Amino acid sequence: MPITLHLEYQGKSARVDLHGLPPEKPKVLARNFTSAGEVSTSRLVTGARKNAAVDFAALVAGDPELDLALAGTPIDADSVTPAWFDPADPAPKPIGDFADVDIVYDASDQEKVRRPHLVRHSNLNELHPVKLGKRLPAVEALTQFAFKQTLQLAHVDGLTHEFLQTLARDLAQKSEVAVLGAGPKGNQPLVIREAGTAYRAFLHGEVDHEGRYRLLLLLSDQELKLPERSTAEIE
Amino acid sequence: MAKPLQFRLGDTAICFEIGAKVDKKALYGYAKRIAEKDGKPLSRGILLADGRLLPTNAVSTLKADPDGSPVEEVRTLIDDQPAELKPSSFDVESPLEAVSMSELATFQVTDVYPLTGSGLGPGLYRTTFNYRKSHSPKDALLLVRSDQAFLLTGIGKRSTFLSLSVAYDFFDAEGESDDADDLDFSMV
Repeated sequence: MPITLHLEYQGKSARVDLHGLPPEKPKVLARNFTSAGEVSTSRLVTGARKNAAVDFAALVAGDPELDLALAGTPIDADSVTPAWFDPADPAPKPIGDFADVDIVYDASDQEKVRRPHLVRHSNLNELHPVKLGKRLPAVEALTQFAFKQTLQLAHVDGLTHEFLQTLARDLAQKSEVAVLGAGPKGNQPLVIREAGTAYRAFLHGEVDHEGRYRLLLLLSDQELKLPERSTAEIE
Repeated sequence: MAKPLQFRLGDTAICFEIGAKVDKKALYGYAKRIAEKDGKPLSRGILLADGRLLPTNAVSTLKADPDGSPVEEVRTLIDDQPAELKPSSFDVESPLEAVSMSELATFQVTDVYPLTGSGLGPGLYRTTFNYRKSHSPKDALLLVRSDQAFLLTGIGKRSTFLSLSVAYDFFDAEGESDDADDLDFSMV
């Protein structure tokens, strides 16, 4: 099912489709076997209390680090649910009224700030269309960012065909890539799906000799550069 | 610690040293999600159907065949054919093929490794990368810029030029079932 992108270009806006792309090579399906049959992965209760507070006397007297009641029991994902508990509680029980918090760390692992957990909403098809911003030379953009996902824009009717073809021709003729931004000012990163990751988005366009167009939405959350401390070590 | 990788472009052997993977955590930091109550961090556990609560570290993943833990050597099949274990890229010479920079537009990057070395002009080269011995080496692009070289592993994607009529099956659109010819009036 395609995603809808509300896009603005040269004062006009249109809603177009965004499609995922098939892989160049078919996915490799590897399966493991022994003479007994297929090897599969299971989740089991280990029977070990990894956080048990034990001392030498307790270890000699008994096996406080073991809880063999459920050891070896398979865990069926459909019949369990995650729960949160106080690890210091001698009789842990599920706690429901907890705060969902994000701890933000900087690149050197230092805590910067704490905030309520941030859930990002898709912003591709909002009242304010996604806008084209700054232009970059295509080769420069392709070699400065690591693109984690690529989607292709497709028209939905004759009018949007002309809209996208014109846009692709504009980018191709100038060998440029356009930076896209969401929000009222067109400067926000794009979020493709609900609770998804925010990406910086670039539009790459080509037109072939038959007049067919190809517009690719390139999504990146990482520049192609070295961390600052690596650069400092080299210097 | 940097490890050497051997490549071959035509008749030329080239050596690069690969550094530690660079991810966005190392560049920009990250956000860790936790649950807390009254300022105390909570631990995540698993609530069983009978109401018992297990800490997450009390559960482990195990590979087993129908008889339990495998006793004999495990055979791997790909498409029902015995699979060959490919050597690590650190043990063999990997071929390079020069490609257009536009390949970067359809290559979904999963990992970025910095490279140190010389002998290769600026450009983009297709290769494969196998950190450890495995059955399926990953596709990779070796990007050489004037200031730095990178090994990008990931998945290549196919795209197509679009004319007025769009070939939706190219994008693997889900097939739409035909409506039944008979009208159904049992709309309860």
